[in-house]
Amino acid sequence: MRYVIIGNSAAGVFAAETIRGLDKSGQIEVVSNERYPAYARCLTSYYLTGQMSDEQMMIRDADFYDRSNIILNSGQKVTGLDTAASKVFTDTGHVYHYNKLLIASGASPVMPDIPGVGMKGVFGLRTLDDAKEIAASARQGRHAVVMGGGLVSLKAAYALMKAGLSVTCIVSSGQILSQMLDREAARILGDLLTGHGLDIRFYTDAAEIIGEEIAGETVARGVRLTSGETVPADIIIIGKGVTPNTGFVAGSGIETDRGILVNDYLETTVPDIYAAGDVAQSVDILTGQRTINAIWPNAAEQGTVAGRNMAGSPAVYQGSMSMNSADFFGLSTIAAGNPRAEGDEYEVVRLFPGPGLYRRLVFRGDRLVGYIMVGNTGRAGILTSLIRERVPLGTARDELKQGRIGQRILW
Amino acid sequence: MRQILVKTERCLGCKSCELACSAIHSGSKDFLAAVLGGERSVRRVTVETNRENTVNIPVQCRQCREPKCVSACMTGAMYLDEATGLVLNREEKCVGCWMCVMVCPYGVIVPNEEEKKAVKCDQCLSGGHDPACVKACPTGAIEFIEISQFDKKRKQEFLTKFIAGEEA
Repeated sequence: MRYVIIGNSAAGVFAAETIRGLDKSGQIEVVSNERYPAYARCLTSYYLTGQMSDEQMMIRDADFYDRSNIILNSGQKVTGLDTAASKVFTDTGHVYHYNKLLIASGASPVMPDIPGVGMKGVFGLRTLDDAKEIAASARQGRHAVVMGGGLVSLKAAYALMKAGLSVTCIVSSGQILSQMLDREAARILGDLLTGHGLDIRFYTDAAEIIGEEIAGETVARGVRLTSGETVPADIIIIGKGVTPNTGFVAGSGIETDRGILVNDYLETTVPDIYAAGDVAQSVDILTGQRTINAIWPNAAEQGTVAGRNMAGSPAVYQGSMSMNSADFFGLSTIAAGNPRAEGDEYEVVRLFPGPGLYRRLVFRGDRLVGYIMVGNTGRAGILTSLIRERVPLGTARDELKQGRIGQRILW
Repeated sequence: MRQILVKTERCLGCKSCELACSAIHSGSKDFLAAVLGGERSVRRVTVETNRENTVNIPVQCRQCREPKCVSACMTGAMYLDEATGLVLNREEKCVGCWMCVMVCPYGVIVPNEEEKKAVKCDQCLSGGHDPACVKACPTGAIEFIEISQFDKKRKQEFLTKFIAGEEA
């Protein structure tokens, strides 16, 4: 059996491990456009602090591929598929023949269509190479502008502040973390970050990046905002979301929507081809609709399920869920499910159980469908699993509002 | 493979396991000394009680076979150790992002905010794989036992009662 896996991050690695666990002799080839072994993509912002070694970034031991008999073909970008002939083509001219194929090609940062995004000093933050380039110019006293108020942007801003830079964050809406948090939670985190020196600008956007010619190169020097003001910047990080890497599947017969559409077995519309991770559009546990919840835990689980199916041990994917965790200056914040839901079908409970603590619980009928916890999040996992397992709450619903289930203290 | 199992009918909720866990994971290995020394030790077991106050159960990591915390761990710190069957955290890789805390269905992974490390029960593997909570339990409610052996004992108990006409 020949397995080919496109992508070497969470979904790809968990799939490869799972396949090897079930099939000791099959050939497993991983094709990756990265030049590193599998690393922790979510730690790229931590890398900017300058306190993480390259070794710490790796999610597996150095001997992982050899020990598991997995062939890693790095530095090769997949350019196309021939699904009739079961072949994968790369930009280096390599051709891989598969019996089972996993597409775990991830996503790439969306770059805004404004003048100057191609200048030196303008970065997306997705890869370790991005992080290395940013870290190389992130010197104390410099100024950084982070575009976007999502988690990637704020984690980058937080890391650069820790590295001694002054940071401005440009948020086009009126709220940071608008996908993850409600206004109240966002206000608490926003106050915390601004209290530590982060300059957040709401309701404005970058109109243009201003540069300067240095030794034949245009180097970014600032960002002109739609408000007219220009903010000086040595480093500009774009955190305006990501888009699935689906370009190479065009013409292959694999059906796509926003991402690659997969069924309950994570199989695409072409037999023997599976998709997992940030590129796969799979069923959402709460809505039943196919969507992309692009987070590491979902990617890893999807990789595991896809791997089982590829190795002939059928497994049904239970569905993905939106959730995330952030910790700024020791204040832990976790949100999961559909925490921002509003409307007649939902009951929303907002609690302020102590100084610096905030909870938002969202119920639909007899079930919890979303929550936000700011501070003291140690038992958050219990709430996550109430949502995931669709547990009917009964009397526990009122207890939950008091921060407990039965006598079990939740906060 | 041995597992920490609980006979809930024997658990009185005395929390000796909690104290023993705190002590063994403190620098001085002694609860009183740790408290007096101002040390904040993080325990990995909590005695829970049901609504009716009739059942107590010490809850620590269940060492899931398909651990949510492992797939959620974005650093590769948390892993399922095939040799011991334990879910373990490589603290040198852990950055304290609390993704594991977010997904643990039992709520038994403890965020150590000061050190930014996720802390969980490893059945006292580092201390000779001899769990302190088991040793400290005065009623023998917590056992560290092969699951097959536990099954066998339970069957014997059931049959003994059945023959005596106590249990149908």
